[in-house]
This record gives sequence, structure tokens and C-alpha cells, in this order.
Amino acid sequence: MTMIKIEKLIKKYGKQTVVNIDSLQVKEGEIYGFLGPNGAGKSTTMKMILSLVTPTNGRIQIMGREMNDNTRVDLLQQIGSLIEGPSYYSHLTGMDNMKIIQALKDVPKKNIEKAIQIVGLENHMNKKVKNYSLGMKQRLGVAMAISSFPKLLILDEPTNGLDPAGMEEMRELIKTLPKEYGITIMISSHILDEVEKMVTSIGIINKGHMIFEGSLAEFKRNSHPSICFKTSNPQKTFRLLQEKNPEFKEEGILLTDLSDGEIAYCAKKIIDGGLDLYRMEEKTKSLEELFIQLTGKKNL
Amino acid sequence: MKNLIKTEFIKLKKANVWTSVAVIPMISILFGSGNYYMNREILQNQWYSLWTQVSLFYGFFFYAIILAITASYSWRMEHKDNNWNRILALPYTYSQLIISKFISISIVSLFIQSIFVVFYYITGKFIFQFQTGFPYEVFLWAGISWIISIAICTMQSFISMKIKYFSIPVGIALFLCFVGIGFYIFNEIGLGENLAYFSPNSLLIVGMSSNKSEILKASEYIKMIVSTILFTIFFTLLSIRSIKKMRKC
Repeated sequence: MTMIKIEKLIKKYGKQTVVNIDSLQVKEGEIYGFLGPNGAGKSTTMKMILSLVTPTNGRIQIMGREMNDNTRVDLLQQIGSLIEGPSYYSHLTGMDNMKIIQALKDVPKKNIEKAIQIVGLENHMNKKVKNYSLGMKQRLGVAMAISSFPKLLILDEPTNGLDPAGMEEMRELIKTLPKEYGITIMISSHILDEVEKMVTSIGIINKGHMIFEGSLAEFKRNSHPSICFKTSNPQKTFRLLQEKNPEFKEEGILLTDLSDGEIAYCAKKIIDGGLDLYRMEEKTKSLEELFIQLTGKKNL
Repeated sequence: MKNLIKTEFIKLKKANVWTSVAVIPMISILFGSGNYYMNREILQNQWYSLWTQVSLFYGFFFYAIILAITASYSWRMEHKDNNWNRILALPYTYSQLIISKFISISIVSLFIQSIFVVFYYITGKFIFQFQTGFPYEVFLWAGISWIISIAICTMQSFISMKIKYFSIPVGIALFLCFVGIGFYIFNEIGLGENLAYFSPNSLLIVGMSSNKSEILKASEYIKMIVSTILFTIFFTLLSIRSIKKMRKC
């Protein structure tokens, strides 16, 4: 089943178009990474999915049903969300916050206990939320979002502001949700590295447009490996391979986009040039580099 | 809906708004009692005279101001810490969200009113030691003004929903109190008949029988209730419309 289906979705503020998505699809059981630099339109898109923002044009279907004023209450019943950082009542304890969610979503107490246990906040429930660290607040936010064990979970930059250990924890936590509880997840991030290890599909958005959508494997296929040649004389190697646009790197001379034939040609040229060829290494472009190449922007 | 109202009270739990809720009615009684004590020679009607004094400040200002504080506090919790995003992503209609908010504020209002009446009783019975019986009209005045206060709760809830700062809606409430007093006075001196029905704050003064101790005609009470209902509906619709508009940006 398609959990989220977006067609020709447009959001304009005045004359400025902030979102213009031809198509986006999140299938059941996926962890869909919604990626793009800051200001690319990720939050606005997610808000439109949740009916927090009205689209200027286009269609959003959730689980086969159109999201509109008549269906929103029904559909929101099946969706948990965390948008633009965690929401909480800071003057109350973690437990009171969870009790509010329990009452609002009308879920049994054991759900709340389970959610707290999943995010690992069991020992902090009697503390006021204003005394929580940012990581704890994020985890509380996730606990609230999953408390009803919804079919669909929408998480907007849930690792924002977390330290590396916190990020890792959050990733591990998110990864377990589809497998163990059948929750489909759409998660946004402006840092590909952060979600790379958990997502099954990705969509990349830049300046409001989708520039890639597909599996992670497909995305990786776009990356042409580079070859690094380590020789006895880098300067001379550089000159010899001038025609192939070489790059000086600490570990040797780097050439990109070579076919197998070209690699053999280069090796022959080095040896014929009287140099010793110590090593030929394949360097795969990191996803991060690809991401930057696609969006034309370094993250942040 | 029941759950929504219940959560409003969990949110208000441990909130510092309860201090004002308890203290401000007491201050009103204290002011009024002071006035009564100084003017005992003129004010000879025991319970009724005391009522004219305690209800004066309370009906003119204090009651509406505490409601404004409560509404501001109640909405500030939502404005703070990104709660709007979560509230609007909850499976409830906008009218349910809005109505639960002002019902909860109206329940606080009932609580405020009860404190006021209890303190009025304690003051009359134990401090001034009135010999006459407790005037049951007080329940009518307190009851009708509580009903009127629902219009003020809805109005203040709307204002505080729109304005994210805590004190500005309270300032507006104070201004509206003056408008209410103005309308009330015009109404009293016959410069604008029925003018009082156009301001919930004026109605509160009339309903509270502030500075007076008389029972009005049934038709006037009916008019007050009709006016309250209209104000309540108006501000409810305005609030819902305003949420819908908010989604456009």
C-alpha cells in the first residue's frame, strides 16, 4: 500500500513558490528519508501532509484517501508526528506530558509505558521537562509521536541538536519501529550521513523541487567510482595523465569517471613512463558528496 | 471532547495561574470590605451593603482581569515550545480544540466565582458578624455573571490565541473593562439604552449587580443571556476561522 502519495503539490507564499513537487511516494513499511538543504521545503511539505498548512494546489493522499478538511481528523488518527522540534509543556513532568497525550489520543496506559521504554526515558519521567536535555526532549517528542503506535510516523529532523551518541541512539530507535511495530516512517534531514544508515528509500528536494526519488541503491549507482594511483613520482604522474583531468590528493593522483579501458590505459602510461606503480585504489564517492553534487550546496 | 477538557486541566496543574485565581477574588473582597467599613454610617443594609462594595471592583475590573490572565496563561503554554504544531496535528476538529479551551477557562471562572462568594460569606458572617440572614440573591448575581463570564472567556481566549505575548491580552482586557464601564454608565444615565448589551464587560457589571443590590426584571436577564450566547458564538467562529487562516501561512 502507498502510505503517502503526493501529486503536483504546490505551495506559494505570495509570488514565491516554496514547494513544487511533481510526485512523491512513501510505501508501507519504508523508512523514507526526505532530504534537502535547509530551506528546501521539507518542513512545509511535511506540514502539508499533516494538514498544518494548506497547499496552494495539488493532491495529497494518505493511505489512499485524500487529505482535506473532511478527512483530516480521521487520517490524523493514524499519524504520529514531530514537526520542527519537540513539543512539550515545560512546567510539567515527562509523565504529565505523556498523560496528556494518552488522554488526547485515547490510548491505553500500557502504550504510554511501552513508548517511554522504547525511547529509554523510564528513569526521567518525574522530572520537569524544562530540566531535560535537548536529547531527552527529542526522545520525549518521539515517545509522544509513537504513543498511539500509528501506521505512519512523520519526523522532521528528529536528530537536530543531538550529539553523535544521541544521534546514534535515535537512529537505532527509529530503525526498530517498522520491523517491530509495522510503522511506516518519513524522516527529514539536511544531513545525508545522518539517515544513510537507516533509510530504505530517499527523496531529495532542493528549492522546492524533487530532484531524486528512489532506493538508496539506485542513488548509489549514480556514483561513478574514482581511481587513485599511487606512484613513485606524483608530479610526473600528474603530467602523464594530464588529459584525464587528474587531481592531486594526499594519497596519490585521483581520476574520476574512468571506464575499465581507460584505467588500463592510465596504468600502462605510468609504467611506460618509467614510474613504479605502487597501488591503484577505487574510491567510491560518499553519499554526502553525491548529495552536495545534486543539491549544489554543502549542508547547512 | 471530554478528554480534551481533561488535558486542559492537566496542563493547568502546577501552573502559577492558580495563585491569581485564588488571590484576586480575595483582594476584591478586601477592598470592598475596607470601603464598607469606612462608610458604615451610610451603608446600613448589612449583607446588601457589603455586596454593593465588594462587587464594585470585582465586577468592574478584577473578575475580567483574572479571566484574561487565565486565558493568556492557557494559550501561552501552546505558543511556547512548539505546541501549536502538535495540537493541530491531533485528530480533533478545530472547533473541538477551541471549545475545549474556553470551556476549561469557563470552569476556572466558576471556581473564581465560588471563591468570591465563599469569601463574601466569611467576611459578612465572621468579620462583620451580620445578624440578618444571608441574601440568596447573591447566588443569582453570581450565577448570572458566571454565565456572562463565558462570553469574556471566549473573547479573551480568542485574543490570547492571536497574540503570543502574555501581557498584551491582559492590557486589552483592562481597556475593554473601561469600555464596559463606559457603556454601563451611558446605559445607566439613559444616554444609550441597551448599550450595556453590546459589551460583555458591561453585562458583567450589570449581572453582578455591582454597586447595587437589586434584582432585575426577568426580561433583562433573558436579554443578558441572549447577548452572552451571541458573543460566545461570535468569538468561537472567529477563533476557528483564524486557525483556518493560519494554515494558509
